[in-house]
Amino acid sequence: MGEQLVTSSFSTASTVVADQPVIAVTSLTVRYGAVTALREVSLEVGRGEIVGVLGPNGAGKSTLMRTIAGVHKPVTGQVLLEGRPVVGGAPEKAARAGLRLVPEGRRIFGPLTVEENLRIGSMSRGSTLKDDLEAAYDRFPILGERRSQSAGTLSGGEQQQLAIARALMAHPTVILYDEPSLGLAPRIVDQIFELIAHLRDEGVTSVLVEQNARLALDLSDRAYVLGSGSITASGKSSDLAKIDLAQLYLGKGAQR
Amino acid sequence: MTQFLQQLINGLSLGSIFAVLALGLAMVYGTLGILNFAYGELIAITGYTMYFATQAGLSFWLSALIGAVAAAVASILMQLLVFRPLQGTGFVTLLFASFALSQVLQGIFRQAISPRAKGIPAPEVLSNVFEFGGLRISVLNVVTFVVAMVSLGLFALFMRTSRSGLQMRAAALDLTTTRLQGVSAGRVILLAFALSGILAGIAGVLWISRTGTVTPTTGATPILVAFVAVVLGGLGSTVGAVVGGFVFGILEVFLEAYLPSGVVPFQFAFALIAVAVVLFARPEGLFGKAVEVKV
Repeated sequence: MGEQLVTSSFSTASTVVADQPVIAVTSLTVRYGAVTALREVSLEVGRGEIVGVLGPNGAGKSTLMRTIAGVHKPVTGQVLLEGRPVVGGAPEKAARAGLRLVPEGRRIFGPLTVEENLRIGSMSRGSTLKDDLEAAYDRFPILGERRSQSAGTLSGGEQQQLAIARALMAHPTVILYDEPSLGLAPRIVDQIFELIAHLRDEGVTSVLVEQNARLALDLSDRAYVLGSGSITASGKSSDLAKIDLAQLYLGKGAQR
Repeated sequence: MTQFLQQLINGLSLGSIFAVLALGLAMVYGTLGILNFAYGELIAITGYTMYFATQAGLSFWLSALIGAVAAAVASILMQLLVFRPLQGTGFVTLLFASFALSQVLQGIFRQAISPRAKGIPAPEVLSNVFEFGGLRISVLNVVTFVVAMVSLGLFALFMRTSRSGLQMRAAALDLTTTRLQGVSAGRVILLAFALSGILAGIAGVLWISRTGTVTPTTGATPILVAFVAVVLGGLGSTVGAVVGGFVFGILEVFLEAYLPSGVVPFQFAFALIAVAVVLFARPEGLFGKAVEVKV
């Protein structure tokens, strides 16, 4: 696997994808009333990949993540998760199929305790909760120390850890991270990104939405660039990293 | 002083019914974001069920139990038959649907049963009064208070310790994020209506025991009271709804006791004015958080 990555992660991706992509998005169009948020977006995420989704504010990155997670109902196109269609408007179904969204702004349940937040993360599973809680506290010791504190009292970085820990309670096969670096100090961002890389090594397929393109390109294997609702560029992250960011966002250097 | 204590006891008894009523209304608002104005009709359904059950020869206590269950079933049916099909149509549509449902049910009571009041005789024991240090306390007041407090306690226990309770608390805070954790919205909302109906049923039994009759518009006062208590306590706060219920009940009893006799008939209006003054000072209600728009 490591060897293949060195030669070309593009070909690695395509061999894995040929297997069966974990996520396959085909010509997805999403509208909010008269506003088209996504236009004919297609992308694939192979097993064990970290795929970046870059783009300026308002490009539709969050809408794409939320549509993959089943929150929005697309006008056309579909999302396949492990080969099965995601039902738009029923996010609980995608969640039960092993997908977790770590949402923008973290969306932890502030008035509930840290432990209650984690418990909610495991609602799609049967019991075996105790081991999962212990595993979460081993991985995030600060959450263990604050388990009976209300989650709203945590710092931004701790809340981001909680959001990820909550997602992990479900033993997901794929995690969508929506702007995990937003509002965090650089040191904390490094920790979060190390964690995302580490989780991939544990076999979690990841999609990473970032405004901070440099960070995302450093971490991801491949990336897509979204501009006003359409994909304007895609390719190996190391190739995209060589292109001027402004050009990327303007849609030049597209490799489609 | 004795007079004050006497009124306080009466107020706590009435307030405990209002608290249960308001909590039931707040349950559905918390998870679904709608005010169910047909909630009052659940009280009437409890009353009519008790009426028919006692007519059929069942004891008052058994009738009360069946009446409370009937309200829970009716509440679940409201969700399944009226609100679920309208899901996603928006706050105003659901609000108007609940008004319409309320009117339709009142029409059915009037046409199918009777426009006139039906009596449900409460057992003699409830109207017994015992004296204690100059206070006159009716058995009904004690039973009402105990039943209401036990109900509130069990409800709090359920919400705090059970898996479903945690799901409901999370859903009330952020339904979409809760669904993203794999929690079924349909199940949580149905459970909210079931709990809302059980609370309406319990409050309904206590209410009917007090009034002794049921009419097609029996639900009008309870829904108004619950609505005022929920707004007073702060929309979206279950603790607020309970406190709002107690405050409003005590307020009403005290106004009735201390207002000059000429204006006593308007005590309810005075209570509403007092609530308006509170809301003028604290628009978010006693326990509400800063303005939060739920769509």
